[in-house]
Amino acid sequence: MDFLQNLSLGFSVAFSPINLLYCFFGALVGTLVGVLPGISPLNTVAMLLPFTFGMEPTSALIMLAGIFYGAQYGGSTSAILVNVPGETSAVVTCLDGHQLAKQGKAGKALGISAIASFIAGTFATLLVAAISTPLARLALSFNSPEYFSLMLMGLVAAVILGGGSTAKSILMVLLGVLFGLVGIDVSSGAARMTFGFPELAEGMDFVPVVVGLFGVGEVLFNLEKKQDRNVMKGKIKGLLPTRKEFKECTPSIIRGTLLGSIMGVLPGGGAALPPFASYALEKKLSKHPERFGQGELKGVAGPEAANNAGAQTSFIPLLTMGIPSNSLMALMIGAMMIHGIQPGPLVIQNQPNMYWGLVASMWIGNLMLVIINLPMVRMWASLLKLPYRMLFPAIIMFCCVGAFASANNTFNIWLMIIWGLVGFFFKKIGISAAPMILGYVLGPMLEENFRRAMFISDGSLLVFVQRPISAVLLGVTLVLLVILLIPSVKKVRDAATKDEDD
Amino acid sequence: MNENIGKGKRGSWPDTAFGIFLIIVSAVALIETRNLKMGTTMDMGPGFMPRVLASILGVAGVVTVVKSAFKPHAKIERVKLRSLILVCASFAAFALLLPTFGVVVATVVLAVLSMLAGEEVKKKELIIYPIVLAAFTTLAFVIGLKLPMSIWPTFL
Repeated sequence: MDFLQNLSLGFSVAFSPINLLYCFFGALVGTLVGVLPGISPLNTVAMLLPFTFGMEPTSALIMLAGIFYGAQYGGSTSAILVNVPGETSAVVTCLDGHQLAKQGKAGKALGISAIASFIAGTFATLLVAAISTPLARLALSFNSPEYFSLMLMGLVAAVILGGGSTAKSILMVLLGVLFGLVGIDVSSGAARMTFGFPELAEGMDFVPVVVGLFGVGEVLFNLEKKQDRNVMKGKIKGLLPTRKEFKECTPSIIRGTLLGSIMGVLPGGGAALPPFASYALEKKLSKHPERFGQGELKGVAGPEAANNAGAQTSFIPLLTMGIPSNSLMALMIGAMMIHGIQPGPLVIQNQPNMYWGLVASMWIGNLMLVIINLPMVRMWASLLKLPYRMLFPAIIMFCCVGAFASANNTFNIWLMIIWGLVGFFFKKIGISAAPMILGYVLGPMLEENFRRAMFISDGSLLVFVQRPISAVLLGVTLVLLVILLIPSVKKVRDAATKDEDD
Repeated sequence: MNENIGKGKRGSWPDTAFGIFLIIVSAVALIETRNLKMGTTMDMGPGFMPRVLASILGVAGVVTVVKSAFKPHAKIERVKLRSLILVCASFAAFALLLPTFGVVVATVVLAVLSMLAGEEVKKKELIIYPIVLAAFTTLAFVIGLKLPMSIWPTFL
């Protein structure tokens, strides 16, 4: 009965007025940035991170998480109405969703996507609650060699599943690890790569780096593109699918939920990949595959369930082991550390209120999102007409104030400008900065665990294969690398991650 | 393999640029850490990890540059210098103005400079938007979240 007790504890935390408010705020902001192309949940979480400093850690995490899964709902709105995916995870929704909108069935598409997302969100919340305690218990038996191997596996898997050239992604991870080393070395006290700046003694602040890379870099890049959108004209009506349509879509929703839940847990997972997989699966199983791309409701229901489930289960590795599976989870780790919480298996034990409150808030947030999205969809649709020129000065202001607030000095604004230019440069040459952020966050932990492991083993690298759990993890890493070399796997992966950006 | 490969233009500029970036980072890191102790694998000094990483990145950078010359041709889209400079200027202006001139002046300058970076500038918006943005910033961050920023110039 632990499970129910934990959940009721979680709900009591999440139902406190202040947390409900932050949950709502997060879901609302998430929907907003999901609807608006050009701002992703990644930039938003990065930009809002410094403003959570004064909050309770629980409230802060509830809000930031709300932004992430809220964006999954909002992203589908702009995909259906404008044929522009508000988020990468909504790319697939464009295919059939926009066709439905053209046929005057925008309301149905929006309705089924919200319902599918809610069902998936509910299931994923339960899964997070059920699976995390045993996983964290397992992780408690880990020592530094196991941690090192686990992080290595996480990084390799993230690189492999993340898309783009694998060699470049690995180099990006190494770059991130190197940048993470800036600051005073913990064991010797020597300043490393601080260039004489006292502000860098405690390492490069997390906020200016991520706000620069994802906020500023994105603005600079977007300003070079022509900004034009064709908003669907005409009224949105009939938000609810008929009973028959719903019945037809139910199996797709269930399959999408399961697929998304599994893919979300995997390192490198998240919300971006599952919808592609779900769409392919639905098309394959359908008796009328030719209807896909012409406005098939199932082609919306399955992927929408999958992306929302994936968004939520990607919290599992983060919360149970302190391993981020994608760059947004890396930001969440940063948020936890800023609030003085050491991510890892001890979080559930030491901070049960925060942990279960966050889990329960995910379900509440999903419920709120259905309400935010369905009856208010006309308002979001009108927001789509907002031109980018009205948005980006405000984004720039948020970046500036955020960087300032992270340390209350202007040094971090300058640091942010540099990282903004670096982020812009990476965008220009078509390289994703996500692996670098993973390396940057995991780098210091990786080094620390490696050193400790070397200390335990008297400098012998064999320790990583002599300990069974560590050996298994390294074996899995190796298998992943080998699988990647199989040409047909590579092809599928390239196709699936082609449109992925973050 | 494709027979036409030898005939077309060669050289992938994005790859070349990435390689050069790696070489620069590696060189800077190696120079910055030159005085740190290496240590042994059992007892690693502070210089161990940075120098190993920087060396790997440097070698990889050279390899990337060399390989890029033989890859199919790819170019980097022209940078729109105007918007790039204006946006950076708006950040820099905010950082410079904030400590002495306060958040209102800094935000107005930031908004005007960044709006000029857009592809379409409307006079009416150029007047109203900065004022609205400055009011919002002041209310939300200085009064609401109580960030330690002065609202008006400190010398007044």
